[in-house]
Amino acid sequence: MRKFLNRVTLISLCSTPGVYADNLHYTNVIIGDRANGLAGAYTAVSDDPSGLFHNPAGIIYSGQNNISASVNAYNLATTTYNNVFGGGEDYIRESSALLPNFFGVAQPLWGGMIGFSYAVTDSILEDQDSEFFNTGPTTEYFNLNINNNDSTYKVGPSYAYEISDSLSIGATLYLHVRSKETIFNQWIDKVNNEYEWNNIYDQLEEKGIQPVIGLMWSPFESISLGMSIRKTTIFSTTQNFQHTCTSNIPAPTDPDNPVSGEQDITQCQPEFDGTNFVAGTVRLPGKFESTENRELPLQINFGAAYFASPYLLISGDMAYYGETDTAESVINLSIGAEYYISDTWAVRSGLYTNNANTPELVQGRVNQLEHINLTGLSFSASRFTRNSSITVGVGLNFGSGEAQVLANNTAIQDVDYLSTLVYVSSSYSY
Amino acid sequence: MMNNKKFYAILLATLLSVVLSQQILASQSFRDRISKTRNIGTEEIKDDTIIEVKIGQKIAAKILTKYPLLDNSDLNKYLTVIGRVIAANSPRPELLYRVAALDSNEVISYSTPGGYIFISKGALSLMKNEAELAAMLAHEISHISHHHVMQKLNLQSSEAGTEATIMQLISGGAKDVSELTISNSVDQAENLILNLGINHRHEFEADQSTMWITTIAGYDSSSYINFLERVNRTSNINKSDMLRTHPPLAKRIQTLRSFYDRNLSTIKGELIEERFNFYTSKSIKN
Repeated sequence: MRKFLNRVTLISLCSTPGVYADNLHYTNVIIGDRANGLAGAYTAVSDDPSGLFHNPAGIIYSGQNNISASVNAYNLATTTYNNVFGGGEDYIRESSALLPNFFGVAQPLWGGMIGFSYAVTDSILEDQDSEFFNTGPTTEYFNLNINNNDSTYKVGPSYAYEISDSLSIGATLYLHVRSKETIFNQWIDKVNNEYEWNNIYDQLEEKGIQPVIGLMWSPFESISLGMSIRKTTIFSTTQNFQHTCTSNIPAPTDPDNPVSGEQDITQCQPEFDGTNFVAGTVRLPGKFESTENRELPLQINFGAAYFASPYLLISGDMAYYGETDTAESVINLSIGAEYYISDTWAVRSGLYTNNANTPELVQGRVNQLEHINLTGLSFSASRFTRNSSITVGVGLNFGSGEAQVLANNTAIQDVDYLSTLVYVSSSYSY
Repeated sequence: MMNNKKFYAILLATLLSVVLSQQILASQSFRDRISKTRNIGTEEIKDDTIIEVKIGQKIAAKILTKYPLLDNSDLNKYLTVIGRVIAANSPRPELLYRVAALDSNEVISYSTPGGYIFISKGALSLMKNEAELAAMLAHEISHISHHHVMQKLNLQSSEAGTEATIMQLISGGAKDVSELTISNSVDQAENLILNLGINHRHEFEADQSTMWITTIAGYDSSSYINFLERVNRTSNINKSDMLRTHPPLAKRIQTLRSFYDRNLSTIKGELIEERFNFYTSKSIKN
């Protein structure tokens, strides 16, 4: 589908807007307030409801009878594609989302802890209209509207059991649901009263399961080691893709070798009447339906945490994402620290990598996926009453790389990415 | 690319390696953060008390659905006065204690968080004097003073004021968090008080406090031992119910006797039989 899309649009949709729903990176959303503050270095901690997601084995150490937590987050991301249209004009895509991205509850049962959690692991709400003037020698006006809503949810039960004082095991079985709807409208006015119009509607529903197995082991006092393994298996995909377009740009004399000023045959071409191309014809929607299930990577997280004192915690994670048929393997690292200023206030901060699962771009090729290795910073502060906490946090995710914004064009653009996350969360025991 | 067989092989190998490498069993208490280990009752007393009283009221109402109140307002007033005298000598005099008699021939007494105490007609009928009543009330007040039920519930604070409002907003405003906390706690507390009991350590702690409090209040603390011995000797009392919620009476009596001999045997207190008989005779003795 992506190949088809790239061939018919001027602005390539393989460049991503960045907020949450970013299939080119894996650490798009860090689930849970404490985990966010620790930059995702949470596999060896995981002793609050967000542990149901990160490492269900850790929830056994929550130390509370009944606990729950919720997180509400606002994210604003800006991706700047530098000098896309010549003359120094940049193409900027912005996306924002405000959503409750996690809710979890756990309580003791059958000698262990049972839990239930809901997590939004990827989400985008992009509503963008752009206008560009005189972007090239033959283009006078360029109008682009995108409405893109793409979210991935996970919901499911967990259970954790303490095998010994130093070892616990846990499992979560998530139902994976992805819902995507993209409406793309593009109008181009060219010299000589030529025009091209493209409209794309892309709707996708995806369902699958994601089992998560977690282990938590404490070989020494104050040291915790954690590991989690997960893999999403998609069992149902329904995609409906439609493309409607028209153009009065002259058809190429030789469709295989269009010359300048002729409509690229791979673009929205005039209708072919069997003998000639007839310019100005509105093409009926080109439909594309798919039930092909995409492959998602095996993910293995290793974590280590040092509980230096009741006031200080330092943790680190390494996350490995396996190779798939569309993505390279990736390793991300994170490190975080938590410090209690008093018994009612704690601050957390961390640093993490969010590397791209795409190869570096190669000169001379077209329609390559963008490659941006990102770095994240996090900070949060929590206020504790005695069976609850309120956390306010901020996160930055930034980086630079390369992309090919224009379809079927060998030009490579420098890209700058900046995402800002602000969240408020609550947690309480009862 | 890793297929499913490799995935499960890695999982199994990891599980086995960790299990087989178990050598040192480490305590997990190191995970406790300072925010979780604060002592109950040392801070935010006002808010704690508010929520404790709310929970206590609801549990008291549940107890009264099981056992009706004894219709004797003079007796209930008398019990409350004695209870407040005892409470004035307890670690938590700020609570407003209320004591009432239950119209039941079982030998039972209950206390709820927040200061609500019930003592049955059956228990009163076994008592000989006010010192024994004071001791029974002191035992229940000790449970309240030491936050035994609240600790068992792991209920560590209230959510009053601004923070509660913020919590409510964050959690979607579906329900007041403090109300959610209370409603969940009431069911657990009722089960603890009526069926499960707290724990033996807390019962021994309350017994020992009883001896001190009654002594400070001017009563003869040995009356408590005498009363327990009488209960233990009385054959028509269902001891299995008592054992479910308390340590064996013989063990309690032995511990109390030892404690009394070591610390309190030289201090003589009052028994006050006349006043006790005056208030209890109408409903209990007849």
